[in-house]
Amino acid sequence: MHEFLAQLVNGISLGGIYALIAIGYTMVYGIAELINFAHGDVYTLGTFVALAIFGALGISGELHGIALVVDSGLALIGAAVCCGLIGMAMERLAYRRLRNAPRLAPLITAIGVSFILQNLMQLWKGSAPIPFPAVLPNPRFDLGPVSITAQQIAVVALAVAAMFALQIVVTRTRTGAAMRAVAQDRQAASLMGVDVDRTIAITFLIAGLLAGVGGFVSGVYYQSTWFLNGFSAGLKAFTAAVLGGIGNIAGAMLGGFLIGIIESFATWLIGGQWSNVTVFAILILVLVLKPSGLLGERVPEKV
Amino acid sequence: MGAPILEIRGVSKRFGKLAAVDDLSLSVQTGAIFGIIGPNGAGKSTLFNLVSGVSRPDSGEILFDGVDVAGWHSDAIARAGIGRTFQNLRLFGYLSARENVMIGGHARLKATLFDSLLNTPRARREERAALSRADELLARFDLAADADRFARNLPYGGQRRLEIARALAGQPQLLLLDEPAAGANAAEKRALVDLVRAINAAGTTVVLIEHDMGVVMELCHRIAVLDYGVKIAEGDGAEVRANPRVIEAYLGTPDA
Repeated sequence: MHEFLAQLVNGISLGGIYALIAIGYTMVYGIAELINFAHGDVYTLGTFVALAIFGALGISGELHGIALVVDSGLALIGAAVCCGLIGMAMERLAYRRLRNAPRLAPLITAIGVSFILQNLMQLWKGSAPIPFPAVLPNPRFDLGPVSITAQQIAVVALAVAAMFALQIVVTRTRTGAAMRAVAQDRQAASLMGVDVDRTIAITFLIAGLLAGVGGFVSGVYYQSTWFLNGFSAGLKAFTAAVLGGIGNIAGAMLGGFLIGIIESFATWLIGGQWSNVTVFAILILVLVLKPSGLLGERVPEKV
Repeated sequence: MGAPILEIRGVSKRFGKLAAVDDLSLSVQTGAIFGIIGPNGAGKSTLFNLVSGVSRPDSGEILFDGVDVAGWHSDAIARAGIGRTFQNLRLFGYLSARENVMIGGHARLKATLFDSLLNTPRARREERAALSRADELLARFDLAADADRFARNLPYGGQRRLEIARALAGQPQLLLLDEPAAGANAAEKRALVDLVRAINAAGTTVVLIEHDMGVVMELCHRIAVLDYGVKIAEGDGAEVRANPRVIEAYLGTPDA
C-alpha cells in the first residue's frame, strides 16, 4: 500500500510535467492542425534557459526565503517567456507560410525545426547530461501512509496553477473565445474580424509559455537535463495528448497525468526498461481502438 | 441621396471554365436595402464571397466607401465595416450564443495582444463593453434565454437570428445577408422583415440575397437580378417584375 501510494504520487508529479507539454501539442493541433514535433525541444529549452538564469544569478545550491521566491520566479518567468517567444518565432518563420500546403509539408518542417533546436542546444551546452542546481529545499512531509516531497508539491502546484490560468484565458477572455472560434471555423472567424494570424501566433505563444514552465519544473524536479531531454518527454506528452483526445485541452491535462501515473507504475511493477514500451504501446492501442481519445473532440474547450 | 457605399466595377470570378461572376457592375446607395435575386448558380453567393474577402476577384474593383477592397483579407474587410451572414449557417457551434456575438464584435476590438494577455484596464473595459453589447443584441434578437447555450443546441430559427446578431456585433456599415429567410415560416418571415427594417433604420446599409420574393419585394428599395454571373436587370420591385428577361430567367413564375 505504501509503495502504491508512493508511486501514485510520483506518477502525478511526472504527469504534471507531461500535461504541461501535452497542452501545447493539443492547442496547436486544435487551431493549426499541426503536430508540432519541435514542441518537446521547446520544453528542453525552458530547462536550459532556467539553468542559464540561475547561472547568471550565481546560484548553485538551495535557496531560502525571499531569494527562493525571487530567483526561482525570475528563472521560471524567463524560461516561460523565452519559450513562448521561440514558439511564436517558429510559427512565424516556419509554419505560417505552409498553412495551406499539404499536411505532410508542415509535419516534416516541424521535424526539421526540432533538429535545429536540438542542435543549437547541443552547441550551447554540449552532449553530456547537465546538472541543474537543487534550488528547492526538499523536506519530506508524512501524510499518513504516504510521504510527499516539497519538490513534488511544487511540481504539481505549478502545473495545476498554469493549467488553471490557461483555462481562464481560454474560457473567459475574448482572446480565448477567438482561439476557440478559429479552431472551429477559421474562415468564419476571419469574416467576423478575427485576425487569424494573430490568434494562431497567440496559441503558439501560450503553448511555448506552458512548455517553458514545464522545462523549469523538470529542471527543479530532476536536477539534470540534456539537449535531447525533450525528445522522449515530447513523445510521451504527445501520447498523452492523443490519449486525452488531440485538440482537447482538458483531455491533454487528463492524458498527461494518466501517462505519468502509468509510467510510474510500469517502472515499479515491470521494471524501468519497460516504461517507454508501456507508454508507446498505449499510444498504439489508442490510435487503433479509440483514435478520438478518452474525451474526444466533442468538448467545449477544444482549441 | 447618399453616395454609393458599395460600388462593384467590372468584377469577374472564374472557377475553371465557369464564369461564376462575369464582368459585373452594380452600385449600392448608402442607407439602402438592396436585393440580389436570381436562379440557383447565378453567382449571388460568389459575389458575397468576393465582397467579404473569402475569395479574390480575377479582375475588377470592389469599392467600399470609395476604397478598393478587392483581394483584402476577410478580417480586414470585416474591420473596415462589412458584416455578413451565411446561407448555410456558419456559427461557432461549441461557443455559447453570447460568445458567438462577442466574436462578432471582434471587428471593433482595440486592445492589443499585450493588453489582452496582461488583462490591462483597457482590455477589461473593452471586455465589459463587449459583454453588455452582446447581451443587448441577444435580448433584441430574442435570444437572451439562450445566451449560455452552445450555438449548435439552439433551434434553427434561433441559429438564424444568432447569425444576424453576430454580424451586427461588429457594427458594420454594410451588412450582407445571405438568404436570411431560408427555412423560415410565415411568422418568422414577418419578424425578419421588421428586423431588417429596424437594422436599416438604425443606419446600416443592407444587401440581401433572397429567394423569397415576398420578402424581397417588401424590403428592397432596389433589386438586381443575376443569371449565369451576369446582371440581367436592375430596378425597383415593379420594374424588375415586369422585365421580360427576368421572367424568362425564372420561367415566368416568380415563386411568391
